[in-house]
Amino acid sequence: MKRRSKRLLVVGFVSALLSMLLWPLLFARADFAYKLNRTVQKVHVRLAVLCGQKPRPVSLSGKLVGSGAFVESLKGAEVAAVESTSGYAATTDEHGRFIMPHLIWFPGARYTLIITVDAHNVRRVIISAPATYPTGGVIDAGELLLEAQREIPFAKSPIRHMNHDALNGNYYKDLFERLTATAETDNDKIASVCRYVATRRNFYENPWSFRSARQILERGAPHCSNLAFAMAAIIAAGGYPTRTTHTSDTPEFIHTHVVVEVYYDDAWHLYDPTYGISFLGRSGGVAGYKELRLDPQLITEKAFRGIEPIVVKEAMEWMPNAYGSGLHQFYYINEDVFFGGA
Amino acid sequence: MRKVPRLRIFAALSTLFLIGLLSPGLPWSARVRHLRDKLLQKAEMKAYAWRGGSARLVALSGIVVVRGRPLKGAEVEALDSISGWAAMTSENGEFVLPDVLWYPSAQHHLLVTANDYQRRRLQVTAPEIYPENGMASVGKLRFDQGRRTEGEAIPGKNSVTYIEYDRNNAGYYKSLFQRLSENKQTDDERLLAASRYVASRLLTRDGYAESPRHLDDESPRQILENGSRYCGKLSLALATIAIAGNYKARLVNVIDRMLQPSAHMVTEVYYGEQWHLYDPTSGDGPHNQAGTCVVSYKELFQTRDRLSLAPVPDHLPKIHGSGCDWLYMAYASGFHHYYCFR
Repeated sequence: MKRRSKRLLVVGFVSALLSMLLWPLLFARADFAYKLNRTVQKVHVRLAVLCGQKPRPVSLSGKLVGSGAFVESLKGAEVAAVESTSGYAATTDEHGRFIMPHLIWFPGARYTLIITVDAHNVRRVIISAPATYPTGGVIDAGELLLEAQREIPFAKSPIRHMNHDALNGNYYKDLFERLTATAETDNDKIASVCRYVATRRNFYENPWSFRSARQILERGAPHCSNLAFAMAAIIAAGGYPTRTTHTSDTPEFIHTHVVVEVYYDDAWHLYDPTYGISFLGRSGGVAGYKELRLDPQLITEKAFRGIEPIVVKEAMEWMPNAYGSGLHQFYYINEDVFFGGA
Repeated sequence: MRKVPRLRIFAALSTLFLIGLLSPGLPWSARVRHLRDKLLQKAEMKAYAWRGGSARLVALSGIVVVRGRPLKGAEVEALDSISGWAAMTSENGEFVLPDVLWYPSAQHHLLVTANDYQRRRLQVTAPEIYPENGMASVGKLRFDQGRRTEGEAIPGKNSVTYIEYDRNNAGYYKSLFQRLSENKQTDDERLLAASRYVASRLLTRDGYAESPRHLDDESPRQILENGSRYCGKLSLALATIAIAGNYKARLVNVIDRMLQPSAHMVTEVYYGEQWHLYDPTSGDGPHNQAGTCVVSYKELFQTRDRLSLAPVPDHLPKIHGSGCDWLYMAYASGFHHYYCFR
C-alpha cells in the first residue's frame, strides 16, 4: 500500500511537471484557442456531412452600432472570423456595416467574430448560424451593439505573424542604413526604401522560387506579395513595427494586392512597393489602410508620379475597389528575427 | 536490474521542477523570476549594509536608440521603482529617471515602451560609487537589444496604479455624458464639453470646507456634486464620465522637477487611435499646431514650446503659483505616473 501511494505520488509529480513544461507549447500560446476553435469547426463540418447535411459556403453581414466613443470608432473597424476558410477579414464602412465572406454554413454552426476597433479596444462576438441555409448565401447578423460585447486584450486576438530569415538579418539592417542615410523624417526613410524595392520588380523571375527576402531583392521579383515581403524585411530590420496588408476587390479574389504598413507617429502608414508610392490622407500625411478603405477617393493618379500612364490607368481600374471592399489580411512582422529575442 | 539511487531521482525531479518554474512562457514564470530578482536585490543590499553602506536613491540618465537613431517619445521606467515615476524620452532619445535604488553595481531592469506594438526590457548596472550630483549615467541603451515584453501585467511595473471604476453610479455618469454630449458632432467636442463642465466644479473661493484629499476618499459623483479643489479628483471625475461614454480613459500625474516637485493631474482619453489630453481643472484641451485635434501628453511633451496652454486656476496656491510657465515645466519634465481603471 505504502509502495503504491509512493508510486502514485511520483506519477502525479511527473505529470504536473510535464504539463508545466508543455504549457508554453500549447495552452499559453495566444493562438491556441483559435486553432482549437478551427479544428472543432472542421470536425463539426465532417459530422454534418456524415449526418447527410451538406455544408455550404456562406457570407455573414452585419452592422456595428454603439454610442459615445463607438459612434466614430466603429467606422473602419476590423471584423475577423476565427472560422474563416481564407483568413480574410472585413473592414466596416462609414456606417459600421460589413460583409464577411468565406465561412461555412451547416446547422448549428457558430462563428467567433473578433472586432478590432484599435489596439486598445478588441471585442469578441459569437454568432450562431440559422438552422436553414440563408437565401442569397448571406447570414444577416443584424445590429451588433459594440459596448455589449465581451472585451479581450489585443495580444489575445488572433494576430498573424510573418517570419523572415534571421541569417540575412544583417543584410537587411545594412540595406536599411544605406537607403536611409540621408533621409531625415520617418516618411522620408520609408519612402526611400519603398522606391528602392519598386526598382527590383522583375517580370522574368518565377514568383514562387524565392526562399528569402534577400533573394527577392537580389534577383528581382514579379509579384506585389514578393516585393511587400522584401520591403517589410528592410523596414522591420530598421526597427519599425511593420505589417503586410493583403487586399482583394471581391470575395472571388479577382484583383488582389499586397502592400506594407509601417507604424510611426502613433499611426499606421501605407506604402506600395510595387509602384514605389504612397497616398496622402486628409490630414496631409501618408494614409493608412483604414483611411483608404473609408475613403478610396484618396487613391489618385497624382500619387503615381513618374510611372507610365498605361500602368497607372490599369492600376486605377482595380485599386480603389481593392481598398474600398474592406477585404484584407494583416501579417505582423516578427521583429525578434532582427532584434533581441523574446 | 540495477537500482537507481533515490537521491538521483530526487535531484532530477527537483531540477525539472526548477526548469518548469523558471522557464519562459509559463503563466507564473515572470512572477517567479521577478521574485528571484527581488530576493537577490535584497540580499545584495543586506551585504552592502553589512559592509557599512546604505542604499540610496539615484536618478538614471541615458539615451535610448534603435538602429542608431534616437527613440523619441518612448516611456522609460525602472521595474520596482520606489516612487513609480516613469520618464519620457526627448527628441534625442534622452531621459532622466528619478528615484531608482542605488548600491554598488545594482542591477536594474528598465522597461521601455516605444509605442502600442513595441515594448522591451533592458538591463542596466548602477555605478560602483554614488555619483556626486545624484545622477548616474547609463549611456546609450540599444532598444533593439532588449527583451520583448508583452501584456499589461508585468511584475514590478509601478508606473501604473489601477483604480476601481465607480460602477455603483454608472447610470448617473451615463446620463451626464449623454446630456453633456448632446448636439456635439465630434469626439473632441464631446470631451471638451465634459472637461469644461468638470472645470466648473472646481472650488477656488476662500473659506470653502476642506474636502477629502485622496483619490478614493469620495466617489466621482460626490466630486461632481460637491466640487473639489484638487486637480486629481477633477481628473478622476472627467475620466469616469468619459468611460461612461465608452471611451478608454486614464489619469496622468505629472511633476515639474525631481526635488520638491509640484504635481498636476490631467485626464487622457483614447479615440481616433490616439490619446488626447484634457485638463479638467482649467477646462482646457490643448490643440495641435494645426488646430485640428486635441494633443496627447506625449505630443504635448514633444511640442510644448509650440503650443498654447490655458493657465491652471489657483486651486492649490500653497503648492505652486499655477501660471503657464509652471505648467510647461510640468509637461516638459517628462516625469509621469498613470492611473488606469479596472
